[in-house]
Amino acid sequence: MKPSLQPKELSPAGMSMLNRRSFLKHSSTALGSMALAGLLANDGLLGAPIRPEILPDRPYAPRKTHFPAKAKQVLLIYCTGAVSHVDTFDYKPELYKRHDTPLPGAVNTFQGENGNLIRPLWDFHPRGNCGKMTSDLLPELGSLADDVAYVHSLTSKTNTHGPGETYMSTGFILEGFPSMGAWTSYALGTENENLPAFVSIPDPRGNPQASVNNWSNAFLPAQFQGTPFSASKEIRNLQAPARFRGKADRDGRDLLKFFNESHLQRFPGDSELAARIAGYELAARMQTSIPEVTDLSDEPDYVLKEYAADDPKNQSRAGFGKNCILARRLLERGVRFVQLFNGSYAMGEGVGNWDGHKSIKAQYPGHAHILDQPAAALIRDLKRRGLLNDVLVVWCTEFGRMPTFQKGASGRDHNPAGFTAWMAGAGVNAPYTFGATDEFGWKAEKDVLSLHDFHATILHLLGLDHERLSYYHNGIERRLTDVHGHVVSDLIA
Amino acid sequence: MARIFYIFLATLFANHFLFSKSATQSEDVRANFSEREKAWWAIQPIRKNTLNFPANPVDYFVQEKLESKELELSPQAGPYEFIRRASFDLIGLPPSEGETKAFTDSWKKNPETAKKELIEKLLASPAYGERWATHWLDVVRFAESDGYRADDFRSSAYLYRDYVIRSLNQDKPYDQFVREQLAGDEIDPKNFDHMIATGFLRHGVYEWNQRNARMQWELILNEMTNVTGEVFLGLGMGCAQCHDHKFDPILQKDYYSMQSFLSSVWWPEDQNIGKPDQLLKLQQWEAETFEVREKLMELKKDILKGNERIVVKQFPADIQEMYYKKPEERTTHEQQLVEMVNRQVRHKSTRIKWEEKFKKNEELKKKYDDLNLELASFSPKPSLPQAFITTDLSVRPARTFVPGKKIQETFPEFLTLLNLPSPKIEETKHGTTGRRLALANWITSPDNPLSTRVIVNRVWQKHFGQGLVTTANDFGFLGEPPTHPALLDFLSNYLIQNDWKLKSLHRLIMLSDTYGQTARQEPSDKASLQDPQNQLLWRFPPRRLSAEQIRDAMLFTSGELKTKSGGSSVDGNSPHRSVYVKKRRNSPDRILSAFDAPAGFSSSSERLDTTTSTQALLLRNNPWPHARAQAMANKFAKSESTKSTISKIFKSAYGRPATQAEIELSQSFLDQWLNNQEPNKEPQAIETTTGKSIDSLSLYENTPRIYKKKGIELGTSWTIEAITRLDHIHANAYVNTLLSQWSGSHQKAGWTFGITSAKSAYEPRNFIMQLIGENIGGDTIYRVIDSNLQIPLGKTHYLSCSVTLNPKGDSYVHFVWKDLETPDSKVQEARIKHDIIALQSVSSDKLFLGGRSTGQHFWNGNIKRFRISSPAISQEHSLISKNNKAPDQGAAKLDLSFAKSPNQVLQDTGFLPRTTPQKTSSPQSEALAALCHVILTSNEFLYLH
Repeated sequence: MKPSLQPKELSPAGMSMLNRRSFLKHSSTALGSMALAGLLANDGLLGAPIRPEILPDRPYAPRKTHFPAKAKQVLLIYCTGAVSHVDTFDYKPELYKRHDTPLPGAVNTFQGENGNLIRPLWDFHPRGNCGKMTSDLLPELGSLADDVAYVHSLTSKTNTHGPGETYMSTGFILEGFPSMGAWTSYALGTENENLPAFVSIPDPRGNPQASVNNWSNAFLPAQFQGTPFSASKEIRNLQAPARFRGKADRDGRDLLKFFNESHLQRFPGDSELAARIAGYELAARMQTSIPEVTDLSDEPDYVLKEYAADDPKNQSRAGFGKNCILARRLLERGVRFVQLFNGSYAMGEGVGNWDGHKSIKAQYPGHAHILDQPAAALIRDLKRRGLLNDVLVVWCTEFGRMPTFQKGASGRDHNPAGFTAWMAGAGVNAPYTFGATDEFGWKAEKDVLSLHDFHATILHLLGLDHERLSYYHNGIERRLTDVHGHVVSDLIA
Repeated sequence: MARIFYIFLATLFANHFLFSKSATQSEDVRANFSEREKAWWAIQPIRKNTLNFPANPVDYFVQEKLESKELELSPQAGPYEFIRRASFDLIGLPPSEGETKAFTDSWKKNPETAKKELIEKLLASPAYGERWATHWLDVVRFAESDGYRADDFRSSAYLYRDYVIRSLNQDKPYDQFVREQLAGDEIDPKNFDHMIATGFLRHGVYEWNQRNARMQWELILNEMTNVTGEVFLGLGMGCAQCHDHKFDPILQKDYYSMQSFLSSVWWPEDQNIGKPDQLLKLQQWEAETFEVREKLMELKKDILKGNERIVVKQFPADIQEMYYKKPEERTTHEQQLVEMVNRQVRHKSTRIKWEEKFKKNEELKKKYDDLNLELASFSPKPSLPQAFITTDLSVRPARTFVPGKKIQETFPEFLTLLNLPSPKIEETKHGTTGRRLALANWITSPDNPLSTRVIVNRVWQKHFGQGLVTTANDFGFLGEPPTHPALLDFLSNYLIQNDWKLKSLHRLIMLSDTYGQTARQEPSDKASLQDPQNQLLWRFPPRRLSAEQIRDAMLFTSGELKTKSGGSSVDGNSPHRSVYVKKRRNSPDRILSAFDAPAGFSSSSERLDTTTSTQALLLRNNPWPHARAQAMANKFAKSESTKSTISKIFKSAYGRPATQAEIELSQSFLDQWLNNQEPNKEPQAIETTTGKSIDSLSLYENTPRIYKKKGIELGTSWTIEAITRLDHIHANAYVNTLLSQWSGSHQKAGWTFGITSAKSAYEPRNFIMQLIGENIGGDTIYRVIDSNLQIPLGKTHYLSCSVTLNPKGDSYVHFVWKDLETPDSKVQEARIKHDIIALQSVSSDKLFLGGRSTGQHFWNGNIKRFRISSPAISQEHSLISKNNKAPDQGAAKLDLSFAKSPNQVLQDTGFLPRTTPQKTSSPQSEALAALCHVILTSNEFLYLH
């Protein structure tokens, strides 16, 4: 009789290693943390870092929060290129009065000199029952005002896109730090282990400017990096080369499993070997679960229409609409953190994203048309399906734009001194408006927030203490919030 | 007994250290430190070696610790295990079958001699430097690009990588190695290696487009300070940037004192590297052309001034003020900020289109053209790479201030806690401050308690997977104390006694029983309880191979690995060792990054060994491991029987013979594979343009490929234009190639013109040009130049790309795309820089239409017309230009329209159809490849036990 390809059961020792609750492989980290915990306790300083307990064979298993969470999942809608707040959500009547007059105390900004103040290029109207003033540029998103907490007083530390995007995503201007989604999946794992814990959906027009840094794990273990894919671009290496598919793939897997398990029997105490066997099995499951989630063919026509995913005239809009549907499908299936991009670097300044230097009036309607209906449909759909009870929605951009036009142009230059983001959904105090810029919309003036405060608040909603969610790296307990950040309790329901 | 003696010695030395020095400095400065801080292990002097050891001292110290927990070393490994371990460890590759046999034979005579000889052989191999350089490059956050969106390639950073490899192979004393990197320019700026070494201070990320010059320079200096502390001193100093360190006795003032050693630096961009005769040639060229270049400059002056004004205006007011000061009135710090502005001014000036600027003024235009002609009449400018180096801006130090409520100036000093006299600093005769040299001298002083411990610990860490101090970049209170403090000190002394030579440490460590014990030992109950982490080394720690080891071992086992001794970095698809693979921060090699190779954003002292589903998907499905498996199958397929083939495969991959069960299983796997094979499917039927009159040439995967025997000589600039339609793209990563003139080898010059497919590493449907040519260093390199223009399928488009190769290093490709079916569609353009400066003659290669010489990368669609012009043409002469001006005489090298009888056109112009190439692999060899793939991706291949 020929030997069968049926793999043998794992040995008892192998199983016991596989199931061991503690996994202290990276002793440097683990022991470092113990030493630190002791130190902190001795010195009566901070609360000690809380280390998530990561199972070697189930790195994505759901993990405990630090305290009861208001939100379980995150949808981050990231409009790249710097959306002009004074033309969208931050209503500044003074700009009408002072239209075409100089901005007092004007300075040079990113591209040089500035011209006069310019009134909002789209009119503002009250929206919802709360009567929040938002502009006609994004009427559909504006109509959600009753569910939204607006933050008008955000500030950034840089006026350059790449570092700015990186700062919004990682809390640092320098590259090389973990992104918000990576921190979240490191801390919390995910509710569906057959899908990645953190998915990043790039715009159909291409990747954002800071590209991979927006979903980087940096020094966190690689399991926690975001997996980039979209409705039109599948995840890398999901399918084998043609002649290795189907039965050939299964036979190969079986033989591999046999070799690996007989190898493990020689070294039953090695949990890493068992984890790698489990990793192959997870990969096999992903090969079916990911195509299932990205295949939108079971979505009814009315849904496609609502999300503008069927727009025959505008491929970018239809593509973004499909990405919005994909985002909902991922959240429905329990993915912890979904980062949805609107805007790409692909076609350069102002064409593929919100970077309106030259002619905002001409550029923005195109971007708004792509964003507005699909994104609003997504949030409404989440609400209708009850998902907003669990999902925190965050809308953001890397910084704002000046209330002036640039000298010799009809567009606005970069402005990190004050800009707008907003939140909706699980745990959010809505309707609400927090903070304010000065009368021109130039500098944040009331309740000024750093991005660290913004990040601290997001982590808090997820049940995580931003000061205790840390990772030891090169002598420092690194955090999403660096050494700053205060939770903004007013934003929390 | 011995331990007590050590404690006594330690106390003695500590006392000596604490109290004898400070005649000048009072003990007051230490008054604010607690006793615990003063007793910090890492700053205590290194205890001297006083014992006579009966055997290997490493074993003495390790056994001592094991005995204290009633544990013991595992039995010694056998020869197969040992040679595999030692080879991977020292040279990063598995041993060949022949080497294994020779070693086991020698082992039978005398294991000790066999080991000694093996280690000497491995240490003498140039591959040793290639392997150990990776460890150093990780620590110094080496990468070859700027980071951020532009992620500009640092085309001569590879010289630093080669310097590290060379230094390790030479067994350069570590103290010298350190001095060169921190202050090579202050010691001997004429010495090539000394200068290249200073690249260390320059490897951090850099955003070219940052306007906040002050903040950016601060970030750069902080990065430099942090990495210096981490790499050489094992101090994570970052915390002290904003306040006194919370956990370590490092004051905020200490941080900035350390920074002040470094803070006068700048990164010169005008220093060419070359052999003396090359440099001389360049000097001659500069002298000969001086006058004409001056005249050109005079012509360009006003436009350059205007350009400068525009850029400078984008900076904050205070920076502008500095910029317009007289250079001699600027402080060094101001000069540094001005240099940051200068970089952006220069960047913008490289984008000036001079022809356009002079177009309006005929007289100027003529002058400009004449001067350029005159310049061209000289021999061409010798193109030499620019050095990626660091030096001081002047002998006047940049002042350093401690930020905070009360801003205080600070000067070069060592940690306050150490209470050392202020360093003596003298400016050098090379125009530098001498500050970095003072730092380097302190770091490499044999008395320095930190630096030797740090490097010795790193060496230990790489041999055993974890250091005696497990936090190799942090010897502070947040890190771990050493598991074997006496051993750490012993090794530190040993290093100094052996002239700081790292190879002496390798010999000592690798000949110990501790290193020689087996990894194939299950933990005893006692070991699991007492030391689950195996910190005391009751067995040799089993390990997963590192990213580089995995990639290199696959290439080695498949028989494809090629040697390369230094030079420009290569693409990950090339068969060279991983240390030579291009390290771009934001587009790292996928295989290497998936297996935890760091991206180079910060000093990385240890590799994580993660297990991810990404790795599993990559190993199972990515074409790269499959290609290795196919090569391996081809290598072994020639054996006389399947059984012997299988045995050879196992031996080659695992370094051991296959078991009977493995052979039978493999045999049945191969049989199943062959039974599964359906008869080869015909290629899918193609869409035809039935009913329509033929006005174009159809190009599909199964049409015979079309080529012209002799290609076209293109010179230094050319334009390729086509009116064409692409109907569908490949489901994999093949390029839909419309035109090409390339053999397919990354070592041979060539080009292709096409659009990417679904799984391209660039976006799908991306209009690209592949160029294989020489870079400024004269190496042949392969580049994919992607336009980021995504071309819709099924429509007729105009596509054009103009290539300009500039020997001075400012080469670019200009892409143009216009949708010809949509009325009023706009012309889309992209101008992409690249670093290929010359294309060696490619005219002998065939010119392919609708594919490549290597097959596979077919175009699926049609073509109506194409034209190749050289030199490049301007927009107004393009095929779609309204005024339809023909290019200048002689510019069009080939112009084919397929509007009527396309086949006739081909025949008339010398194109031949080519028969499809023979399939290279048989079902038998594919089956074998599938087996090799399983083996190359199995745990036994990926782990070292």
